[in-house]
Amino acid sequence: MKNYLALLALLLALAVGAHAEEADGRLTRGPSMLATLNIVQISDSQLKKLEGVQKTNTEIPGKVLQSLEVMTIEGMASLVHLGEKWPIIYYDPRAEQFQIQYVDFGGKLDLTCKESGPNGWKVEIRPEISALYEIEQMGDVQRLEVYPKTTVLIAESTIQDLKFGETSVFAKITGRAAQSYLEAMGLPSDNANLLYTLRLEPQS
Amino acid sequence: MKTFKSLLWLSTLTFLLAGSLSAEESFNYTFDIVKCSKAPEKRLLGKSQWQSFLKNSNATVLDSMQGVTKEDEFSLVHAGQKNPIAYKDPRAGMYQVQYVDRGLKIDISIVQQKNGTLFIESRGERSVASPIQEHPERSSVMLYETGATMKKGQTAVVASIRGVMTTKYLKSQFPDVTISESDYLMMVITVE
Repeated sequence: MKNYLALLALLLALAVGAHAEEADGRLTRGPSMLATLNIVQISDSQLKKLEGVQKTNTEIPGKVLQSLEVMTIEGMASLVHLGEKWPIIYYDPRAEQFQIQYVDFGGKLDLTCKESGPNGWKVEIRPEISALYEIEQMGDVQRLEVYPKTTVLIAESTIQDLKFGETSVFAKITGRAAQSYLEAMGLPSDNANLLYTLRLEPQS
Repeated sequence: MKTFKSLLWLSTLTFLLAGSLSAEESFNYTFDIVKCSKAPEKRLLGKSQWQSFLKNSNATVLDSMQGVTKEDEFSLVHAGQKNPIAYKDPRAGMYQVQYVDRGLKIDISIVQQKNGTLFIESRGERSVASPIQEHPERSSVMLYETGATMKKGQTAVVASIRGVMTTKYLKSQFPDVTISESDYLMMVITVE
């Protein structure tokens, strides 16, 4: 009987060990966090107050024109996109075949968060707000017949050491560029000052 | 003989037990698209908290789909169309076709972690043909792609969109729904 018990214990240990080994091979992912990108229209006086400010713990007074949020975890590329995908078909002589390339427009947020120091995050971010402003019709058989022209607002950046609850101000667009963009979007352009802000918050 | 039978019995029991220890679990998942005038304070909620939020915030579930997946296997639900983009390859002297998916689609994989949480990798998409008839190959899309950790029984608002710059795209997605500039459009995953 003792022998049977010993054999049973051995087989159980092997089975549990194999299971534990399988589980150990997997990377345990960290807790979820929420990344919120806001595009804020602010007054000239508010813009002056924010001169040189890269991060703040206070709310930025202004009108949030656009907000894009995505839940993410450490090291994972995350994307949210609302808009259009327009396929462009063209012949690539090097590849000797037709290719399809998609032009995205609308609101799009691409980001990856990585740990940087104690309680800080390094965020690689590429937000894009774009709109179609003209459809080009070439009428030339050697070229594409139809393709879109878009107006864009892109702010690609790497934000260092962002802490939970802090707001990073990582891009500012003012003057004629902001004005013509707001006009192209059909929005009031009297305060032509746009800020790109990002905030990270823990979710667990 | 008695010894042999006992050994056989013990071996069977042991392997059954081992099998149950390593058995991979199955999960039910739900993908919702929700319109709401406000967002929940936390985007990761218990199912009852989420149901109560929906009730108290006058939210509308615009689209919903469910699926079942085994742990660590990809699962897909797609309800919609596959639209061909056809073009002629002059060298091959024949047409080639590439298909574009439209409709509601969720691609998901769920892995149970050592700390008891679930690692969810998912890509949700809703796409419709462009409302402009001259360019039927254009698609109006709302999509997200991300990873999140959550507990079984929780609901995660994995992505949300709000604002004047994208309202027209939401209207082309949901032409019969009144959507204001301050409304949130949320893409939500629940795992049970």
